[in-house]
Amino acid sequence: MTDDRRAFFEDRVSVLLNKLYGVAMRLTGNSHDAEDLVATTIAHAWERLEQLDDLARFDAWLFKSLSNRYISTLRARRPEAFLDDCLCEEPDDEDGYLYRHLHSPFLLWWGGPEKEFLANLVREDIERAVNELADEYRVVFVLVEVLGYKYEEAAGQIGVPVGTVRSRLNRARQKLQKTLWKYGRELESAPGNVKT
Amino acid sequence: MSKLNCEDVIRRLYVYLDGELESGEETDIDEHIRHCQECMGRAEFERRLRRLIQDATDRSAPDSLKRKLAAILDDDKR
Repeated sequence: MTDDRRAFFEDRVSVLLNKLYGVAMRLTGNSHDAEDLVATTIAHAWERLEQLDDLARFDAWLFKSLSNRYISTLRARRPEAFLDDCLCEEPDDEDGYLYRHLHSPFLLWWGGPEKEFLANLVREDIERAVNELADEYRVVFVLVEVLGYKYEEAAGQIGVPVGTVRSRLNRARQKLQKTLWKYGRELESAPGNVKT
Repeated sequence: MSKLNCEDVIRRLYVYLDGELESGEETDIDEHIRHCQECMGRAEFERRLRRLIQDATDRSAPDSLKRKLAAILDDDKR
């Protein structure tokens, strides 16, 4: 390993460490597994760095390695999560659950209830809601919504058809929004927060 | 005037926000959203929610992980 490559690796990993850990937390749902996932990913990347021709691709390569590693673990633990369930999903009309419950057509286009709801959402609510998603929904959600993968990339990485990625993503978003709505209602009815 | 109605736009909204539409379709939705306050509000809400979810992903790595990272790199120096 050349000194230049070593310095590059140390610099980039230091910069990316918090995000790697955050994504690992989203995928695994707990700090112990997240830490293991990041540490093994970095160790593996360090051993294989010479194989990466274009260092400009390092960040994407590292995040892909992290998610691949998690997907392999999940595949071993729950192979049924990788079945093509695209056709099993019943279509429903629950997209945009939160907005439809919050929005009042008599207010301006970006009105009070929607803005207030988002302003009151805290990190813990979002973390809990993502953690409540089933593994197969959560992994698609993290790849597309958090890491910004295209549907086709996510499908290739998980090993399911693009249609399955789309239906799982829709289902993940619906469930997440319903859970956030539930948390919002709980907060509203908590002692001390009752509206008069 | 936009070729799409609100129902068409809302049905495609997530795919649009994911950047997965063909460019012509994306332009049609851009145009509709620019002129429709209802759809603009809905799109803005979904964008902000997405940003909150992405921001919530940033975490401080624990010291124990930083020590593991240092050990991985040190191991190679020996």
